[in-house]
Amino acid sequence: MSHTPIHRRHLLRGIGAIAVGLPLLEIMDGLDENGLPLTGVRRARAASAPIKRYIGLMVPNGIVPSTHFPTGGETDFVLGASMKPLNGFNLPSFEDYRQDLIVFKGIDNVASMNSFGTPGSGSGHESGPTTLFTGAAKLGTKEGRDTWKGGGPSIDQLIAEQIEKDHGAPFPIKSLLLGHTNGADWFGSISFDANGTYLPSSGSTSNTFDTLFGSGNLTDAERQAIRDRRKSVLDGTLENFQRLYLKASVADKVRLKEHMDAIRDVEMRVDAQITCTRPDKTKYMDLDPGNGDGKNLPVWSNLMFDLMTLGFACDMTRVATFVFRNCGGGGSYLPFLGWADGTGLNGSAYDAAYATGEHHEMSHRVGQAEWDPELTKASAFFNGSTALLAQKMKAVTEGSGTLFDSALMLQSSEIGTGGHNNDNSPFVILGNAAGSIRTGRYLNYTRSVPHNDLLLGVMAAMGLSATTVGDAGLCSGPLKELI
Amino acid sequence: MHLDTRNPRHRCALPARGWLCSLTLLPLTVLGLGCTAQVKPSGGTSSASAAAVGGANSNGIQSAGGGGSTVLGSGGCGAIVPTTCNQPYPGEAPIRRLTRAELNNMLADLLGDKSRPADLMPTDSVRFSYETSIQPHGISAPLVDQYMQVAEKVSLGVLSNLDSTLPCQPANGEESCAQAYIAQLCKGAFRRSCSAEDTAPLFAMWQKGRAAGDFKTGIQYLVEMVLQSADFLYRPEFGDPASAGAGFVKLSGSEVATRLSYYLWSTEPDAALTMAADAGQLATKEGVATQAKRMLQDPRAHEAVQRFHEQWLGLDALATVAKSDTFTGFNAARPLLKAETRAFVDALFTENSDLGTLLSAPYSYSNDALESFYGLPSPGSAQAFKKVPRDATRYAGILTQGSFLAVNGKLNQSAPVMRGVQVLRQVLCADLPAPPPNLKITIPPPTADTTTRARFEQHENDPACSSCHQVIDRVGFGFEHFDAVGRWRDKDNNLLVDASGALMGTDVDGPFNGAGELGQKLANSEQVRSCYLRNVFYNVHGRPPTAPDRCSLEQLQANFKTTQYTLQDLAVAVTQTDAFLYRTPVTP
Repeated sequence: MSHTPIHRRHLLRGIGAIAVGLPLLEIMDGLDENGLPLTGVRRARAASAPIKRYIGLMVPNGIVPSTHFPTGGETDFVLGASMKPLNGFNLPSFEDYRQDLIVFKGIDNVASMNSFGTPGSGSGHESGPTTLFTGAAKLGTKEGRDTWKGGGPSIDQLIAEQIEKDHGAPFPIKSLLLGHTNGADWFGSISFDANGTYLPSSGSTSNTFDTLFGSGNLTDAERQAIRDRRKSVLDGTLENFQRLYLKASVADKVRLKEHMDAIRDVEMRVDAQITCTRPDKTKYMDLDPGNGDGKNLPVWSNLMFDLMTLGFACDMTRVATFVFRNCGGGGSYLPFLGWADGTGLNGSAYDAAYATGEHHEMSHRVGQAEWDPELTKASAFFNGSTALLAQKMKAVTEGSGTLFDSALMLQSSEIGTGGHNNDNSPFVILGNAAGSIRTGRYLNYTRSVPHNDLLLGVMAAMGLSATTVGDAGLCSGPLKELI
Repeated sequence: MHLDTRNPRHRCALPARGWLCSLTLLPLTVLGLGCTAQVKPSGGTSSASAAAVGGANSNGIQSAGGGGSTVLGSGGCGAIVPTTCNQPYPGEAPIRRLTRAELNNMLADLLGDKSRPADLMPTDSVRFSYETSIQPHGISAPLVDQYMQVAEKVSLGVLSNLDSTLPCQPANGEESCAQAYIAQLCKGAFRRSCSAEDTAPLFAMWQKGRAAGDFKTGIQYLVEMVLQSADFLYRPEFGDPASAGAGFVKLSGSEVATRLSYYLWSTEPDAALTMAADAGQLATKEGVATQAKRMLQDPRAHEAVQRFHEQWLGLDALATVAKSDTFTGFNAARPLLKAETRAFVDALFTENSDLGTLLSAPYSYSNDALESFYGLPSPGSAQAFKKVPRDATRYAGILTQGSFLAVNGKLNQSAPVMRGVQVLRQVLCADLPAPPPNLKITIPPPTADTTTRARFEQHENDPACSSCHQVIDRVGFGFEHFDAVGRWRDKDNNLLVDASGALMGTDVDGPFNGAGELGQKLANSEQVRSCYLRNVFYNVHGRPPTAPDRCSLEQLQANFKTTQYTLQDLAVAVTQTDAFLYRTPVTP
């Protein structure tokens, strides 16, 4: 599925709108420690169309069913320990957002199971991230990493395109993709474009800041000069590509076309520059999640969620994705949970040499009484951090409400549990996208529901009506129970 | 202005398929069947009996004479699967985009920007492929946005130092000066002589910038455009039409020069190479070999060789692999472990040692700090890495260096499975299936009286695991004398280590005791030699070899044997193959 090109003419209309747009956003509570008034100018929009924002999140290595799934019914449900406050951490919890929550049970990531060509041959960590938000079986072979492709676009891209279409103009950033991976890795990439090409995420707070505010604090004339230059340069670049394209082989034409489409996408956004005041960068410098060492994870995710909130507040984008850690082996050493070197295991009888303190390794022991409380701590940390994003968005006023009113966060894991299963994918929704869905519920499906229908339901809530997403054979239609 | 390029006619594959043409040539992986005792050489779809002995199909690809041509088809996209090697058979030659490292080097060589601006971009590959891979993950808008940011940053640097860059004085005529600069920039950036067709649009771009500001603004527009253009970011090849034959065309001199330069130096050709190309000296294999030998002496070639070996064994993870704090000194040792492998590889390459030595050498390169970390006697060298002896019964060249063992080690314990898998996959090119779905891993926890080995032997008692894990673990157990960070140990959990193991489904099957004996077996394996060639080919050509590459691989294989498996000779031999000197004809 290819996105609808937005022509320069539409774009110019967008610019005109910027010039006369009303400054709707005046207060950025709790975001700017330097006392700078961060004022953004929101593009003009029809008063009747509410703003909606989508955030997709992946937590690694599954959950603990006994503490993740609530007890009770659709509305009288009782949350488990994974969704309650985590001792010793200054984080909100899903329990604080009970009325904004939908917890799902019985949603299966069938596309993951169907990956690599043979139904049933897919396996959690290898195919889970690629399928989680595409609903399409992963292409390529299990170990042929160069052949890795998404089976189609992820819904964050589809939703971003729909929102821009409704908006009538592109945003400066189509989608803000943040995550541990900082590049290509099938254990941590969840966003894919229409070609099934993975979209690189940023793991660097400093680079993310520059992406958001690189052109901040410029005069109007300086901004216009940049726009003019970029447009001329990108036009010239495209002409160069076209000359080579005509001469290239059939197979290379496909590659060059992909590049040219991407240039057009960038060019389309040249005019959409922000007018937010550039905040102070100091606290966003030089901190990344570390690859093997997760010591910085709480600080890093907190800063990334700050930046994401700023990006939304300045209307740089309406869509974001976030990956806490790559899934699978070796990447999730979480010493801040008291796991360093196997100490702090609450008197567990296990040999210290065995208790690796590594989340993925531990997740294999899910269901064992000694380990479930430890794994639950990890879940409570991830869920609490997502709740923190909600809290940050709630601290920013927008119109008569807050940014959070516009949000729909869709979170899950690449696997159900550390048993590498793809049934009972632990989907959670936080936020109702301006009243588009009914939250405060536990939806416990007794039949197996391919997660495609949930993705369709979320797309519908975000204004994108479709009957299939990903593998059409897995789709019955948008999950009706959302509304 | 924009031509319609939205619907290219392509008969090969859909754009959604990663490898495009090559995809149709990829080996069919048998999935879901579990392992047998036989390990198929990857790339082969041949019968288990042939595959069980690597030598029977030792080049690691489907042979055309067998069932290969029916499985693999005609090679798609114009590449012919040869039955006899009576003419050049080049295989696929997809257009190559600059890697991050190549872009950094180009910006330094072309524009003097040594700040490695492309490091901001995402990494080029994931573990166990090569940075030079044709980037099948494709290109996306965020990546193009980053190209734009790199170009803008670099162009500002050019402007700040323009006077020393320009071959002329703008005051003496801006337009003629811009033309002179364009002539200079174009040849370097596009790696070939530029025609009016190339330079006219560049001059027009300068004029646009000039109109928006001054002379310098024109240069800014120009440089930004050049650095984002297809002719710069990609390396197009068309071949010399006069030399076209059935399914092949010989590359032009400048195209061969560019291939040589990116293969050995990861950057544009130098003046000597360009001159050789202009003088027609790259039209013969001898001329190409002469240049390759010259270039191998350059430090950039040594860097390329080291990078290849680091990627082959997935050693980049050394920088980030997590280890328990109980391994005091590991963080300080990370760069030393990397340097050890680099020094070792570099010495072997410089001495033109053979592949067997790489996998079995009873020596390494180390300094006082690193030997102290290993718990070995000080070699008396505070900084420099000097040759240090190793016990041949215990050590096996690169495979017993801390870099390989720590990367393939858990947070605080050894990892027989990881080590076994990497030896089988990367050194022997065995095709191991991934674990089956819904796998419940039930390795029992350690007690005071079990070793790591004893716990993993549980795999063999569980029928769901045993078919694969008896193959994997018995290789990995050979490394049990090395702990999570690669230090020798006699005991594991206070019990004596048992490092006996066995190779199964290879051409060097049989029992061995410890890494030393494993290394000896690997050093004499035809399957290992073929696997190594396969990896070298992958790195050089940005794709794994496929059926149409049969003749090139046979050329490499024959040469490798003649030169007694020596590494420098192999590096030259790579440049003598059909795959390196020819390409498939370009039909737009």
